[in-house]
Amino acid sequence: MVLASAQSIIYYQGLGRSEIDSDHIEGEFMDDDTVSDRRDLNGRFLFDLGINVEPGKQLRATAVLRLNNTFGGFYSQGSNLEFRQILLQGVLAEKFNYQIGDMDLKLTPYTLFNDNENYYEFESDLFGIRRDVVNYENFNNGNNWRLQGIQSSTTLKYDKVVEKVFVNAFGTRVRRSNITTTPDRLLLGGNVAITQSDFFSLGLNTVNMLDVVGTSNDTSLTYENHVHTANFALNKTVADIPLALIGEFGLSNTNIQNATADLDSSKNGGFYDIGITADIKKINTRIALSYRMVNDAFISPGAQSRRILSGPQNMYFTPTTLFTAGLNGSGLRNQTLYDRITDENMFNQSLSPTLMHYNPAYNNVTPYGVATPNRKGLSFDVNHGNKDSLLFAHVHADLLSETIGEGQSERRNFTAIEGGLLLNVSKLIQTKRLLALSSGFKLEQTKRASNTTSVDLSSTLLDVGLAVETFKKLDLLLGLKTVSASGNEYYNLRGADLNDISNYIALDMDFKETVSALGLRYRFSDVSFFTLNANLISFDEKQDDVYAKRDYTISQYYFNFTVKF
Amino acid sequence: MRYSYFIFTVAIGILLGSCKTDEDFIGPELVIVDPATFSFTEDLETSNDTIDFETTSASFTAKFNQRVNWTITLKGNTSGAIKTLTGTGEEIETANTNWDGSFDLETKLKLFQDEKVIATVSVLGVEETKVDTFDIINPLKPFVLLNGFNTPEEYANPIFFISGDTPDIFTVSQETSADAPEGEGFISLYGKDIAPSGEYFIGNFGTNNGGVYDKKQVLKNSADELYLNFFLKGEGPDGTSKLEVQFEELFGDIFSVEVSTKHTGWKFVSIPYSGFINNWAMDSNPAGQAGVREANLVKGMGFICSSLPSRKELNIAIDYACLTIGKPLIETE
Repeated sequence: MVLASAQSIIYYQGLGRSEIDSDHIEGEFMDDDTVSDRRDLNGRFLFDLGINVEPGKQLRATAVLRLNNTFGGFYSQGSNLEFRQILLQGVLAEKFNYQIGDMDLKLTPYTLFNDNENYYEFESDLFGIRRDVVNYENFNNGNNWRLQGIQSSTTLKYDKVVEKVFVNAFGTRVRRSNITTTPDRLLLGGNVAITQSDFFSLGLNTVNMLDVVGTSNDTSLTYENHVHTANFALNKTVADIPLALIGEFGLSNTNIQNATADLDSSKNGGFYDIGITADIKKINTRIALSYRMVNDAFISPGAQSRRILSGPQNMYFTPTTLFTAGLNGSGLRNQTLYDRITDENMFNQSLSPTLMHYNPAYNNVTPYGVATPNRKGLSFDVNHGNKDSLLFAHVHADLLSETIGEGQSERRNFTAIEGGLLLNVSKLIQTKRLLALSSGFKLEQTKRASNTTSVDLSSTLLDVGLAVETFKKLDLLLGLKTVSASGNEYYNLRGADLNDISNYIALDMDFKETVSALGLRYRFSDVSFFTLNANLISFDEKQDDVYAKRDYTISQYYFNFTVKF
Repeated sequence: MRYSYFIFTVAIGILLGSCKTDEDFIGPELVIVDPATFSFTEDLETSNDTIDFETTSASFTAKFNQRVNWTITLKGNTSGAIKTLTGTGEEIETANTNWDGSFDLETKLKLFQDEKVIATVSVLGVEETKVDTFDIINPLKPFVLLNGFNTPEEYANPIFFISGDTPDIFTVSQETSADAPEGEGFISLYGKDIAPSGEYFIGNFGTNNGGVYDKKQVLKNSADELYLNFFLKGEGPDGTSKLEVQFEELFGDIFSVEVSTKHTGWKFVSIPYSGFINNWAMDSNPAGQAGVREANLVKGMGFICSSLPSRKELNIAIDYACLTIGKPLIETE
């Protein structure tokens, strides 16, 4: 909706969502349990209204207001109204774009990048809808981090030597002082992107995280991290095939000063990543091959912070919101893949200066994205078509190893192959009705050859999805997602100081999780719909002699009504 | 174009050359032994059968027939508290196993008590373990445990006052849940500000007799050494409450500090008294100093709950409120 007056233009966008879930848990985990909940019913309604005011071409003010009401209250009891985003944007002197407030920022995968969690490109829409909800609630907009501060950019054009230069700078506060013990922490950075011609472009990037001394009473502990990188692209067309030589390389420097412990420690790290791409447009296929080395000392909080709060097996993880406890109240239900796509409280919204915990069963090869430290090796990527074409297919492979051994000189070797395909059957049989089949997989293997400290861990993720438009706009949806992991690994525990390894945990795992879902979706438009589906989630621990009574099954009915405008 | 290639080649060459490392591996050495060849040559032994942490610390010894990664796990037989000590070598020596009674923070907070401790030494890659037991007295513990809130009986001693604003809703209830940071119980605070807009206060929850004043001789007058610790369950980034924590001194001075509730789940909070700000400077003691923190005069503390903005709800929980001397109960980054 747009309202215009002589002075300003006002327009709105928004989202309304209603969700209800009814849940039941059973299995060994709940046997003889007389205190924990076996049934649960949750519901909420939320409405986000974004109001944009443009007093002129030079300024836009955006405020997103949220009305949130948990079902079960009486009329508006339990409801609240708050600001979800406040942002001022504008242009200074017709040259400099700027924004102040809650903004999404991203640079390169080694500097500032919110890496995707696991592989889900070809999952069923039933899971995609749930994932969209948790990403929306946690401000995971693409690979951006939601940060608060100020950002400005401009593009300068030239007639000689270079075509244009894009300059971007930002300053944000990533931690607020609590006045007493922790100071304000800032994230300052930016980039310069120089386009010399269609042939050559060069970028310089910097991201710096640092404590502001004096913003808390305790000035004994201060942290500083600096990441400086350069990226480039050399483009040339050979035999009608656009080729590109691309890469990024850089350094990190991290300092921690602890006056109480009389400690002043620092660490310098580095990386390089170089590759070639070929865009074969005749067959709608893009091929990429790259080699990278990220050494063990490379520290980049903007790129290495994880989206999900997780941990190995039943350690270091955030308790689940749904059915938190079992075993008569004495045990917490372990986090599963299903919780990772539905539980918004499991998501991290802030940048962590230290490497966060992760679960090797889900991603042991690149738990911190391509910026995962102590990795080197080849990556290969083939992409055919897109989600709107008859066939969309993707394969990505990482053949990596450690740059240095952990705890001993033998190094781990990592292999990860992920891929899948989406077949739009409706295009094949030339019908306007939606009919699509998708399937994806991810295979991971970690090995370390050693007589004494060998590692052999395998995991498999499988996705299957089916969407059939039965009546006009009414889709029957089917989804299956399984993950299984078996083998052993030595998980690193790291100290808060400079990510140094402090100890190891010997892990042995052998389990399987399955999520199957069946439901209906009615589409009002491309972005507005309702779904009603049944989910069955099972966790099967195969080492019953080691981890007794961990098996459970959750059955769930889920309703989602979403309207966007 | 040739110039670009030259620059590019030199840059990559410098970078590739600069990333070499001379180290053999990172982290502590990881040694896994063949169980068939491994044996203990000396069993695990604790320095004394009884350890009084007010006067001494504990240490341990053991020997193996080869170099190993060893872990000593100390477990309180009653409390379930855990402390692990790790190392690498052919023997465990007194010098590198000095234990001062501290604990590891696991999913739950568990502190050692006056109890029997079971010490177990294990070796990475070997199932065989050795066990020794000893008793501890006077373990490290909070200077004053204000309340663990684990049972209605514990919650009632010392008595925490509840003072709600009229006509607002303010309820405080002792609840149990497996995810409580310490024990099974905690305190849940719910409030709703229904007074006319512009007025924020919902309620006050605290103790006038937490036992801290009883230890005034230990505290002397050092505000820098006194820490207030507790676990706080937040409301998430969309929370609508404001929480202030307050110390009240014997002769009227009041000091407070605001604590954010905009986190999700439980979070450990520790605040030194020096971080509290004076908001009521009145000292009826003629010899006293109005507006100056005097830790030996602290007689009570409270959680001041408000709605921000007004006419909103408060929904937080608190567990294991205690005072420590010299450092927080749990030292975090």
